[in-house]
Amino acid sequence: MKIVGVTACTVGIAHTYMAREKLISAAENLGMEAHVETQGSAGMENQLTEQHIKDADIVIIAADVAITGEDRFHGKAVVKVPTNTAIQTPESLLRTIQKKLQVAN
Amino acid sequence: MYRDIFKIDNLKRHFLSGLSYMIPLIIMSGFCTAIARIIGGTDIKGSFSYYLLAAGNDGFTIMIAVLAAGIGYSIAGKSAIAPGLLGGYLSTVVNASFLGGIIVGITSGMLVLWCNSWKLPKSVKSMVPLVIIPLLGGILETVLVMYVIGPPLAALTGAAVKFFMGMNHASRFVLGFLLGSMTGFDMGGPVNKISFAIVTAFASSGVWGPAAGKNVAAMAPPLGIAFSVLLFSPHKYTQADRENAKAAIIMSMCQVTEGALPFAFEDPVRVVPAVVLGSGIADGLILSWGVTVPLLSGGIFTIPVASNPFLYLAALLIGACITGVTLSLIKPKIKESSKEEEVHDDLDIDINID
Repeated sequence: MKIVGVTACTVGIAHTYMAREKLISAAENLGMEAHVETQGSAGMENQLTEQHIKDADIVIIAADVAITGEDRFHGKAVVKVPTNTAIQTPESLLRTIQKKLQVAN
Repeated sequence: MYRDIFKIDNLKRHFLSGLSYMIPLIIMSGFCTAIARIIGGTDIKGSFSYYLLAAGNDGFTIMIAVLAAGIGYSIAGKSAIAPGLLGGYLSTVVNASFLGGIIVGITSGMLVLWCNSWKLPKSVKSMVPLVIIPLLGGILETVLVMYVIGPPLAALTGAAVKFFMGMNHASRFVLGFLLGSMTGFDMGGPVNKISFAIVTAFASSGVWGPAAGKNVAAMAPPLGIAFSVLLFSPHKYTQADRENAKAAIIMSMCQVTEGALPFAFEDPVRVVPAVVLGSGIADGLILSWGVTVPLLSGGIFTIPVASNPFLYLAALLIGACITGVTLSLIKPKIKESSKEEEVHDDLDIDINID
């Protein structure tokens, strides 16, 4: 499964980056490919490329606030969760998505 | 369409978005006023500190406007910013302050959603964001703030401030304990931000005691945990904990409560109560002692501008020690198998395609 994600939290200094790390390491553990963009107080970092988005099977938006550039994901399968879900249960999140996508296909 | 806005999760997200736009403004304004006071000579017209203080105060004047614009933006995107800013500013002018700002933010978002939902020919459609929304937005927010929500909310704000000012020591301690424990509870998460919102509401009405309490309550958790890890019971922690604890001290100095999070995630059942207790007591002491700080954030940089720096620092250390001692007492002996995520595949999530 190929994943793109965007993380953003209220203040944008801690949860945003923790969520990114957790998502990426969980994806690695499960043999998935993940590109995750952070929208913290430092602005957009690790920005997703069009190619990443085009290739992705799923878009994970792990955010407690409104993110910028959501229109990029038009037509893609999108999951929205709070940052805490990505931080505390990253592997469960990815597995749940995988299961749901399989059912849908 | 509108019902979605008022679902609790969405409402929270819109509000937190607004807050996230406002927080840097508050911090910036706080620094301007603090540095001006540290330099001194703020009453000499034309001096640098005079201008800096004025700039900081202007920043506080527009913070509700930014909050409202942020809420509107979160609901309906760019077009909601203009009516949100105007309504939020008006709300400040008539003293409807925080609550008023939230309401105008939501209404500006709803207005934009409504206008965008009209079925119009393409040629006219482009007029909506540039003519129709500004026209209706200006009128709607003016009428709303001046005639509908302004007068009752101004009265409510006034009453809340008067109530706080009239509280005795004991009830101030209770209020402080509640605000402080909320600040500590999720270490920078949504509950923390609710308490932050209440404190900001007081501050925008010129009451700065809760701000002082909030600052110590936010600084105490990482510091208290660091005390427990490095001083009170080092043998109960791992090497990784000790590294985290050193970082937590720096985070505490900068008032980043999130410094406590690595510990809270690992052992929420013990860390959260310890933190809530310490932060609550620190905040309660500040309010009952009557210490004020004209800053909503800023870590140790707020100490010089506290009305009583000694008591301010004392409350912080007492709160941190309570957290540290409590945690050291209830922490079990170290177990090497650290807690792993229990992986399962039936989280309650929805996948949407649009």
